[in-house]
Amino acid sequence: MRNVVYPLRVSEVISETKQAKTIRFDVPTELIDEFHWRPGQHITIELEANGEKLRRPFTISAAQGNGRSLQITVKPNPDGIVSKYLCSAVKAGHQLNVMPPFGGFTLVPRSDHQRTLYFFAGGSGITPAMAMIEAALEDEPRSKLYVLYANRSADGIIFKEHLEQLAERYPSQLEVRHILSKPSMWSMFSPWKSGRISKDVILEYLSECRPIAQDAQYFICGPDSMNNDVRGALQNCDVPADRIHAESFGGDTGAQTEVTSVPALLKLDYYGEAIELEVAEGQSIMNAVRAAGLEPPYSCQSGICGACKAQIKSGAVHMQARMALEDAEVAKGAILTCQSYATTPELSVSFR
Amino acid sequence: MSTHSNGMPVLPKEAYTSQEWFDREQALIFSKTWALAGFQEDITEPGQYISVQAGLNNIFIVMGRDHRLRAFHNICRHRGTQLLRAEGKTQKAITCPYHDWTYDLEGNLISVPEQEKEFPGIDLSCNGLKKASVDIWRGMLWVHPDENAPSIVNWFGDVEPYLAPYDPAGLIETEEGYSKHEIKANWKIIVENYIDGYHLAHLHSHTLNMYDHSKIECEFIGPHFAFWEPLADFYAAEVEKVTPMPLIPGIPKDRMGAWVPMLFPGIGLGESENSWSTFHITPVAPDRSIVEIRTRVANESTWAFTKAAMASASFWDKHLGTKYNGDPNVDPMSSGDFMLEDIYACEQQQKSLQSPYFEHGPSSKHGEKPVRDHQSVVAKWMESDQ
Repeated sequence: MRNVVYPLRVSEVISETKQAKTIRFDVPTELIDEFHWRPGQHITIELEANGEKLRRPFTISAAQGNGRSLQITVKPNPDGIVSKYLCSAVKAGHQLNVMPPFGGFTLVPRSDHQRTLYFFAGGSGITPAMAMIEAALEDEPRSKLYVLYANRSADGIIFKEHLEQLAERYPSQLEVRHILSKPSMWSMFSPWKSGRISKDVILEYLSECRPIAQDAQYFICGPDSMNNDVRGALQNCDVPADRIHAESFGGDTGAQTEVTSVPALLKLDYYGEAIELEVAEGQSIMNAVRAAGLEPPYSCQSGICGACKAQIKSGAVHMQARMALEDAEVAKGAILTCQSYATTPELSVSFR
Repeated sequence: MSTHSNGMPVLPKEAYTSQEWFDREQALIFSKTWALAGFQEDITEPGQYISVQAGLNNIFIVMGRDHRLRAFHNICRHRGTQLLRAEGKTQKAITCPYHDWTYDLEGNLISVPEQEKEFPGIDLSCNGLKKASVDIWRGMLWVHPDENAPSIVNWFGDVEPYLAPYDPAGLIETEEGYSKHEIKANWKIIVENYIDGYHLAHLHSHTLNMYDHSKIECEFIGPHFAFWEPLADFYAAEVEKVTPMPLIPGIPKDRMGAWVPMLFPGIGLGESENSWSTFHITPVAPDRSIVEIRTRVANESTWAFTKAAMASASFWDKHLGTKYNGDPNVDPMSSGDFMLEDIYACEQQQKSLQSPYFEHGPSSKHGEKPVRDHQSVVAKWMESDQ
């Protein structure tokens, strides 16, 4: 990805639930290619607060095409300056600084594919799933989509009506089920289940929602505790790890905190330019690169978004968190530079 | 080899008689295409499995606890022993009967008895089961020997619009509709009979006259043959009243009839207004084939079937009959059963191929064009020797 920020005009702000808002953007014609996105990708919003630049990734919550705008759906995070600002202060007509779409947690529909696509979404984790669902319904019509959507209570369900409308419009393609951990006694809404997503719930779910197409893929996007539960339950039912794709939405990242790093000489291939620099003990590759005056792309700084991805060519690093990478990518040398600490005195890394 | 355009057959006589041709077909056609493995409902529970022969490959399909099917070559990676027989149910693992090597349902080798002593340094991860492909299409299970097979949607996608406009998975199998025949004929003779439109009005003049053979629409779509013909007028006029079985819902009135495709290689479907069946030809020798027929019908009550049979009995007594009036127990042409008529015709052809006086005759311009087309498809696959 390129490390460029564009001012985009907010065209519309929509209240999805009491807390969550959808923010839509006008993308000027000359930026349409730059802002082309795949379902599941994010954009980065950059704000200045107290003289400091803050960058945070937000998932695009719609598929491209059919007249849909670039949009993000945001729930205010109690500790999040950016998300609170987006949900309270942003109005139609405002301008926001936005970096183009990126991210590897994607679903690329193929019209000649017949797959079974399972989505396990929790809370605002529905946002990437929503884009994937819209894209698959329209562009992969032979595939069957099963959505299990977990929330605390019915009034917090983002896109509830939208999902209902899609299920009505595509009855043979889409089946949506809800699970609520704290359903309100006064709600008219009756979920498929109450409680948490446990091993037994997953077992029951899979026996009721069976794959016809045998190319089954499992997308999990929710808080870490839910993701870990669902992944564990799926693997417990013999789902191979390479069919499970997960992205974290809030909660504890489950990162290892103990760092065993060494000072190192870093040979950098920085977009074709050869640069050598020192990495201090306990300093991340990203921080070392930025300290040298370079501006590599980055966004969430917690291993979730994948914006700072690079390739390691020699040497080794320890990654504190690597949610944004699939095992297969790590095996091929992908690293998240903001989470990587040198464990060999020499290493070479390539940014492309 | 004769050419296609002059109305003469494409394949030589040896294609129907020689062991060498047969062996090459097994390797080049039946081991490189999607093979029918059964009906979707044959495997419904985790741990349940079936094994099937697909050309030179024995493949088993097993369901995991995620209800997804996996297919593996039925060969232990140790000495090649067949792991699973026919059909049954296993738990979390598959154990070879020979030396108890054990694999999990992902095909990973998880246990070798006396591993330390007998196989020091063995890397279990290099000895997993060889994977095959499995998928469900039109309510049927299909396997392909290649783990990275082209998708089943691409294989059958182009012919789909030419099939019956209902979903066979919504029908139920009937025991009365099952039969298995060992036919003393090459598999291609049986296919050619199946797709020959010329013989319908003659061999089956009294047994398949409920369809109008003068209005056949048929053509090859890639390697697959598509065929449709409407109901005969006398039947169409009161089909709701005189259908011998409840009608299958979903067919528009003006398309009421029979879709009878022949999918490559040798998998016929019979999709009609009141029944749906598979006609699965398995070659066993140059001059011998097994045909297995399974049938599904509308998901209606026994009473609905009894009622339809009773209400239509006298109507069909009037309209159906036998080609000849001989002894039905001796002469297939007097049986009133179109399957026996077909088997007779196929076996007689195979027999004549042995005669030194046999010579291919001319084939008809329209009705037998599919026969020559199928021979061209076979010829093409036989050339693709890589």
